[in-house]
Amino acid sequence: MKEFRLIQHKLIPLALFMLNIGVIHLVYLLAAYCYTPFVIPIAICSVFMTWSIVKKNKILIYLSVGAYLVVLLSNICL
Amino acid sequence: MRTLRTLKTPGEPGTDVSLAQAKSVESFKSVKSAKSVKRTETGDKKKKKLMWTIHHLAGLYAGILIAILCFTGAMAVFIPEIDFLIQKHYYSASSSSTLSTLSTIPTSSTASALSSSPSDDIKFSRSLAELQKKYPEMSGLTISLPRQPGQVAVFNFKDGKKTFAYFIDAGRDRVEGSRNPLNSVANYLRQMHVRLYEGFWGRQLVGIGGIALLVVTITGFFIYADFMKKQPYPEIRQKKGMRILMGDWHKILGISALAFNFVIAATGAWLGLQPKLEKWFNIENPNDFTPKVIYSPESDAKMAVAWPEVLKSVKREFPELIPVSIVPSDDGSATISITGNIKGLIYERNINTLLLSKTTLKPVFKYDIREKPFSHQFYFVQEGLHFGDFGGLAVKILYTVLGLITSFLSISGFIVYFYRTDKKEKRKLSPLKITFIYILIIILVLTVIALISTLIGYKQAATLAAILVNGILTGYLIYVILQYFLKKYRSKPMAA
Repeated sequence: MKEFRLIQHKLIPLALFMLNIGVIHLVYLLAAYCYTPFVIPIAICSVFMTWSIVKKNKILIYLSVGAYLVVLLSNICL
Repeated sequence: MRTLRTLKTPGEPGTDVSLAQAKSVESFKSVKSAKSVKRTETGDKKKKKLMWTIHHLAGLYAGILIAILCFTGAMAVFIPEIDFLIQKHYYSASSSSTLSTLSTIPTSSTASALSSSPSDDIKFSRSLAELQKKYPEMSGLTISLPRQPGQVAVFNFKDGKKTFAYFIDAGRDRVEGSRNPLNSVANYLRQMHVRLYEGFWGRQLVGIGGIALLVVTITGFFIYADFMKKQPYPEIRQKKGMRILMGDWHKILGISALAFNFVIAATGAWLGLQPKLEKWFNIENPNDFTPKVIYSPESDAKMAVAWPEVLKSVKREFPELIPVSIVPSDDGSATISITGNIKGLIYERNINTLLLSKTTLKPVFKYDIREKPFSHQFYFVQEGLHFGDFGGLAVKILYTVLGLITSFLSISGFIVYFYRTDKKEKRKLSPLKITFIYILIIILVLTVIALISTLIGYKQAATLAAILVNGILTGYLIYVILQYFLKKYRSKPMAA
């Protein structure tokens, strides 16, 4: 039950929150023809986050959200 | 375990007394921890109840406002595209097909970009001279340049108290038609979303709506777990009645569009309250610049300008700028302000500015957002994020879909509320019918104002909107006060 609560009530909302940002980020880069090296990692991360939500797997969610955060921060900083 | 060990080691290990002491200590501790768990649980419950109450009240009192703003916002995203279609099909105004726009200029500042100068294609000098002859008192001229092939250039100006908008075929340099800019559909959509068509405090009301959406979004996130319990995401219970069904859609869509709602609410609250906040806290617009007045306003307005040279100068001095509008001064400063965008950046429209001298065509002031500090960028990112004007049509479509989802959240919230209070209130109509009537009335009001605005006039539409907005607010306030006193009056004899 604890695991269910953690995944359903905390991790999935977190992944959905990041997925919102990820999808708009990806569409923006594609629509603005900004073919930076970040486009493919962002696309992969968005798919990965969607997959982790569908699978409802704790580790997958942690990994996908973490990976997207790293890509997002590097895109902002670099 | 640690306490057991410490109790056994000093005296007689394993004796009955020590064991009993250990057990009593353990049970005391477990009771204490159980109590503390209970206390934190009740504390959590209280917090969640408070969160739910805030969510409920904010939704109840500002839900209709949020629904209207999200609905109009979902359409307002497409204002430039809608206006382009209206110009093309209703006014039959378009630029010749060979015309390439300034937005097609390569963004690199190379010599090749300058040599293949498409601005040579944009011509409006003859049309401007023609209109200046027709309107000798012309003032406040703004030239909006075409943003896509086929689009016309638009001259907005005043002559006396009248406002005009003329469409110019920027390929053949020919006047194509005109309209009253205040009565346009684009202006209706903008005014309805920005200030509910109410000039006095409509914008602040919209800001309050933004705050309400922010509150509803944050509290909704905190109470999500409490309402989901054992229900997995994204399960919708379809066979358990309308209340459960709407509740499930409300939760699932709400949590799915959480980040979007948060961004829209925060930026919307800032944009709505911006004029007042700037006034109260002395916040200055970062790209404000006032040039020196060196001529009389009359001689400045009559000063001849070589427009093709101006466009060339823009490309030379600010190659990455995609000019959107040009404003020649008529206050005596003898300048030409060119504002526009830089491709691929998420900032407010037309904040990059180049101010050229009318006489030398040399820059007097240049505002390039990329070179400005974080505070400037943060200030100007708000509108860009709010209107989704940074990623072409795809981002706009995404924004529209998400905006409509937020609007639906208000509707589903109301349906759940009406079902929940149905037995207590004993309403004659079913919750679905009541919600449908509310939606119908809102759409009817929006349509009537739109028709008056486009067919009769802006002022008449604004007057009607002001009467409606202020009338509804005053009426509602009186109703709430009366209800409060009636309840008090009724409860007193009961207590007696």
